[in-house]
Amino acid sequence: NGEGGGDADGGQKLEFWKHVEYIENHGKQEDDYEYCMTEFLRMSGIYWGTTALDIMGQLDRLERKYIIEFVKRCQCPTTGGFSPCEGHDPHLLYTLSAVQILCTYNALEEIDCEAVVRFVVGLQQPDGSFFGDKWGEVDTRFSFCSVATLTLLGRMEQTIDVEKAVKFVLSCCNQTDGGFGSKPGAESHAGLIYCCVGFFSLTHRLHLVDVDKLGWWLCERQLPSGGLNGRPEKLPDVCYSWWVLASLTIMGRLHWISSDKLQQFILSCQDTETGGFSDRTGNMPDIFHTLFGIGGLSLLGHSGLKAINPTLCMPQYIIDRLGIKPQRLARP
Amino acid sequence: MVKLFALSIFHKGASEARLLKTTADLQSFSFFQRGTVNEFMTFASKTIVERTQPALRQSVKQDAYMCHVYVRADNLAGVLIADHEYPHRVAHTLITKILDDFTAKVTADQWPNGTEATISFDLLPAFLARYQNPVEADPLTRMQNDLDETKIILKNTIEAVLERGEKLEDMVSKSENLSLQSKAFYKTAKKTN
Amino acid sequence: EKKVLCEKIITDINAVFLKDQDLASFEIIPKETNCNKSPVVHVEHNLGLESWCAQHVYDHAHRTLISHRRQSSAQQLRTLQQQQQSDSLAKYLNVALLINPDVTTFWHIRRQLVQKNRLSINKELQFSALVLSIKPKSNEAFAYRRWLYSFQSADAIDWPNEIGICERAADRCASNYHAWSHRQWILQSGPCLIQSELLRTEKFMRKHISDYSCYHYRQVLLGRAYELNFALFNDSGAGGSLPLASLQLLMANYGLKCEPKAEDLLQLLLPHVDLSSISSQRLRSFLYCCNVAANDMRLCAEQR
Ligand SMILES: CC(C)=CCC/C(C)=C/CC/C(C)=C/CC/C(C)=C/COP(=O)(O)OP(=O)(O)O
Repeated sequence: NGEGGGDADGGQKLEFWKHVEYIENHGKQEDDYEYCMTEFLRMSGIYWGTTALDIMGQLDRLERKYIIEFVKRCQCPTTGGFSPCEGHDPHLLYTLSAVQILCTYNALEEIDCEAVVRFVVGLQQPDGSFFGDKWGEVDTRFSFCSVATLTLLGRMEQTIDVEKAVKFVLSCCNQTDGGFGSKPGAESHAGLIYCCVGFFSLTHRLHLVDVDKLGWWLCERQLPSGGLNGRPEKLPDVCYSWWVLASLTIMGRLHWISSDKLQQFILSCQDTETGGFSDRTGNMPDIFHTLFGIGGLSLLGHSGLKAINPTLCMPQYIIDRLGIKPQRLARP
Repeated sequence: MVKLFALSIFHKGASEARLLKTTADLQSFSFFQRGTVNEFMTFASKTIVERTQPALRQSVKQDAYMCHVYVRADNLAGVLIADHEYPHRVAHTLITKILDDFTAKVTADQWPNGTEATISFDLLPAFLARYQNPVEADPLTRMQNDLDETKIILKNTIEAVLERGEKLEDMVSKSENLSLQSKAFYKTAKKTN
Repeated sequence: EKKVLCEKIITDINAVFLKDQDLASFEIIPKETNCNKSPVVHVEHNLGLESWCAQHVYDHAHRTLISHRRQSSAQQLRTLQQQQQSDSLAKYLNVALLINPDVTTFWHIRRQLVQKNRLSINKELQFSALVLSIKPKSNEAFAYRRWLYSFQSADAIDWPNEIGICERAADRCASNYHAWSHRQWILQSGPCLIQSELLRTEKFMRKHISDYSCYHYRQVLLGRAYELNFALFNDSGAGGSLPLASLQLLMANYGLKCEPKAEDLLQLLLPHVDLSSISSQRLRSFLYCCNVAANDMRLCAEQR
C-alpha cells in the first residue's frame, strides 16, 4: 500500500497512516464530549469512517461484527427506518448510511430489507417529493437518500413513483445557473446539486440536466487558493471538493477544474499531527471532512487510494459487486 | 452585520496615546460579548496609534476586522474599525473629516490632558450611524480627491505593527485597560480558533 | 455529586424561563473555572451560561432525555405518573437544545409534547427564536416553526415578526441558506408582502453587498412581482410614471441608445413581441421588474 507519495509536486504529501490512525481511534473515545455532542449523527459518522478506511484499503482495522450489531440495533421495529443511534428517531439520512455500511460489509441479509423499502416508500408525497421522516420536512436531499437506498437494495423498480420523483427534483432546478436547491425556488447549492445530479444518475435521467450551464457554475466554485466553495461569495471547504467534484465527474466534466491546485488545497487541510482533514487549512479535523478529503483525492486519481463511485460515495468495487450501474456521462 | 464597528479619537503623547472620544456599534455581537469586544477594540486602537508615526496612515488586518489609523502631524489621531468589505479609501477619508471637525470644536490645548469626560464632542455616534453604508460616504470621497491610496500602509496582523521583541499576548496580559474577564475571553478564543 | 450540580443548574435555567417571558438571547460565556457563583447569568432578557459547566450540563440533560426515550418506547406511556414525568422533560429539552440545536430527536420530543397539548405553541415559537439567537443557521429551528404554524390559520400568524426573525438571522450569518429559504416560505404562505419586501431587502443588500442569497431572494421576489402584475410608481409623476433610470443607465452602459419613453424601451427589449396583444399593466410590471434588477446590478458593481 502506497503512502500517497506526493502526487501534487512540490506540495504536501498525503499523511496516509496518520489518517488511518485518526479514523481507527475515532470511535474509541466514547467518553469524549465531542462524541456525545455528535451522537445524533452516529450512523453517518460510521459510514464516513468505514468508507474512508475502505478507500485506503484498511477496512479491517474496524470491528465488522461490532459495527453490524450496532446498525441492527438502530433499525426501528415499527417503521423499518434507521435512527442515528439507539434512543433516537429513524430518518432517511441515517437509513441511507445504515444501508451503505451494510453494503460495504456485504451484510444486507442481517436486516429486514423489506421493512426499509416500506419506510422509504411511505415517505413519498403526492407531488413526488420525500419527507425525511414522519414530521414532514421536504428537501431534495431526501429524494437522493430514497433512490440511493432503494438502488443499493436493488428495489427501485415497482416501489416508489419514479416519474413523480423526477418531476419534483426537476422543479427544484434554477434556470439562471442550471443548479438545484433544497426546494422549488431555493438557491442553488453545491451540496444539493450533488444530491440532484446523483438522483438523476441513479434514475438514469442525466439528459434532463443542463450539463454545460451547470458545469460552468460548478467550476466557478474554484477559488484562487485552489479550494472549492459551495456557493458564490463563500469560503472554500474541503467537503465541497466532494460535492462539486463528484457532480462534475458524473457529468463527465471533471477536467473543467484545476486538479493540481485542488489537490494541494485538500492536502493543506490535513492535520499533520493528529491525522484527519478539516474544512480549511489550520482548523480542527473531523471525520466528515476526512471522508470528503480522501474521496476528493480518490476522484482526482491520487495514488494509493481505491477508486470511489461518484454517485454513491462508496468504493467502486462494492458498487460492482452489487451489480449497480449509476449513469455517468462521457467526457465530451 | 454592521460594517463600521468603532470610531475613536486619540492624542498621541510622548509615551502613550490618550483616548479622547470613542463610540461603537456592537449590535452584531452577542450580548455578553459586547463589553469584552469593546475593551479589545479600544485596546487595539490605542496600541496601533502608539506604533504609528505622525503624518502616517495604516490599515491593519486582524481576523475579521480592519483597523484604519491616521496620526496627523500634530499628533491628533483617528481610528476606525470596520469589516474587510468597507472600502479603505472611504475609511481614511472619513477619519480625516472627523479629525477636521474635532479640531474645529476642541482647541489643541485641551488634547494633551483631555479625557472622555472633559472633552465635549458628541458627533461620533452620528458619524458612525451615517457612514455605516459606504454609499453614503461617496460624495465625501469624491470631494477629497487628494487622498492618495498608495500612501496607506497595509499590515496583515496587529503583530506586524508591534516593535521588535513585543508580543501581543504579553501586552494583553500586562494591559491595565483590559478586565480580567476580557483576558480570559482572549485566552479561550485563541484556544478554540 | 456532579449530577446534583447539573440538576441545580438546569433548575436555575428553568427558573429564568419561568420568570422572563421575553428572553431575547442565549449564549455560552467563555469562563473556564467554577468561581462558586451560579453559572447562570440573566441580564436584560439575555441568558448566559458559563462555559465550564456547559459540557456537564449537556451530558446530563442528554442522558436523561435518551434514557426516558428508551423507557417510553419499551412501555407505552399511559399512566398519570408517566405523563408528569414527560412534563418535567421540558427543562432538559430546553437546556439540551440551546447547547446542541442539531439534535433532531429532541425537537421531535417537543413536537410530541405539543401534540399532547403539554407545550404551548406560542411558547414554542419563542423558544425556537431563542435557539436562533445562538444558532442563526439552525434548519431544525426554522423547520420546527413551519411545523408549529401548520396548526394556526394564516391570519392568526404574525408574519412581520417572522420576517424580522429571518432578517436577524441573515444579518448575523452571511448567505444564511435556511433563513432565506424560510423567508421564501413566508412569501408563499403569508399575505402579499411584495412591496415591503422589495424595500426591506434593498436596504439589506446595501448593507451586505456580497450576500448572494439576498440577490437570489430578490430574483424570486421579482418573479412573483411580475406574476402578480406588480409595479411601484413614482409619486411625483402625474398619472403614475415608472422610474426607469437604472434600466436606461444599464442599457447605455452596453452602448444601446434608448429614449426615455417607456414604449421605446419596450420596443428595444422585446423587438419580436406584439406589444399590443399584452395588457398595459403587464408591460408596466415587466419594465418595473427589469428596472429593479438593473438597479441591483448597478449597486453590486459599484461596491466592488
Ligand atoms: C452519500 C452521501 C455522501 C451523502 C448523502 C446525501 C446528503 C445528505 C448530502 C448533503 C449535501 C449537502 C452538504 C447539503 C447542504 C445543505 C445546505 C443547504 C446547507 C446550507 O447550510 P449552511 O450552514 O448555510 O452551509 P454553507 O455555509 O456551507 O453553505
